[in-house]
Amino acid sequence: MDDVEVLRALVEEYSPSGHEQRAVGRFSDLAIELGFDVRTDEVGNAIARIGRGSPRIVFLGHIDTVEGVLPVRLEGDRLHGRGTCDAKGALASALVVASRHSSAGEILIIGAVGEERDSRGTRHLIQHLARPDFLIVGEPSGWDAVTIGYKGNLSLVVRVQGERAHLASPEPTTVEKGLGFLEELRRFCETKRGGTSFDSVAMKVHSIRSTNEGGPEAVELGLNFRLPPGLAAPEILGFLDRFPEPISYEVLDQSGAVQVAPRNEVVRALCAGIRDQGRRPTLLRKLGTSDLNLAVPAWQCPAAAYGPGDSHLDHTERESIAISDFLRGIAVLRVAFSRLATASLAASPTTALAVP
Amino acid sequence: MADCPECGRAIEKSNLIEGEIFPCPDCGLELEVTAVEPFRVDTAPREAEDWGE
Repeated sequence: MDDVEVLRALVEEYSPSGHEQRAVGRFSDLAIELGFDVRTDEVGNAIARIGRGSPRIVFLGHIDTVEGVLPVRLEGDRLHGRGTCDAKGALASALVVASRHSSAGEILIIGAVGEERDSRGTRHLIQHLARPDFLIVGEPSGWDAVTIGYKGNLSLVVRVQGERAHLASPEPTTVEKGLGFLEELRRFCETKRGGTSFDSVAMKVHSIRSTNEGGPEAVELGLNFRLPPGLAAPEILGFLDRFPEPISYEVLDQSGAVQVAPRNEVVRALCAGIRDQGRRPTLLRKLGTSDLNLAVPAWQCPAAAYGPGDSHLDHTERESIAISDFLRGIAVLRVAFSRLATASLAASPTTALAVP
Repeated sequence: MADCPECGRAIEKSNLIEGEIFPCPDCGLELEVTAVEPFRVDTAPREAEDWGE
């Protein structure tokens, strides 16, 4: 089976979050065929291991995708299909590179479950898997770039309560109170503006629903905040707690921003691989969130996120990956794994930085 | 000794360590020490923001 066939086999198993079992089985079969020892843990993560001893390199990919079947087809240089970019391209490239590992150390290639929903796979791993010496999170950075930071995330539903009033009355309606609340929240966010988008809080309203049960009324606002380094979710929640209007809220998900040291051993190994392909590397700070946000604070090891593919195609109907980029990603990871396998552990124990 | 990949200026190893970023004394391009033995420099990575995951 050649490298592209490995990618195609993973993509052909449609695996939205919560329904990853068949894809985990396919991943496991492929990994066994490629020479790995494979196990599935209690929550369904697939863990493929090759090599023995130190250092321990973990490639933390995810096997789930967002929902939405896309026909898998190869057109010219592009493979189309759900998960090609986010993030089976990264997972497949790491799997084929590690299958040729023959030097010192152990490499784990993990297909985690649930990343697109609640990261239940990685939440389990950071509790039960020993701290790696080096960590690469498999997400599409583009084959010639390395991701060194992600913003944090706070997702919540706010409920603004009120009483039905006559529309001719001077009192604002509950909907108007909800809209006023949003304006106050936007003003609060403006006070948290930094020099760049990465350093600023961003708020999005993704749903508004009003209900009326006779007299009592409510407006439910679906909100998402992308948090910069230095701004933790409790600061936003503290603002909500102090708001004078009768509101309540439910937090659906939260994680802090993360930045790794831009010259840590993992970043340098990936940059070496990119330079080996004749390209000047780019270090990215992303406005989205990934499992790096959970793994770095837990494991405190040198880390970065990497994978071929254009992340702007994630979650879209145009999701696809250029085969040439996939193959360059393999070449980059080959250099990176080789460097990390022979890296001095003493030189890089504290080079990862998590921001609360 | 290594050469700046942009202008060819000879760069001395002096006390530079692997991973260190410094400007080329002639052209100002940011360089990174990619290896110490043998001494090698290359263009430092660019830094950018991106809205994706």
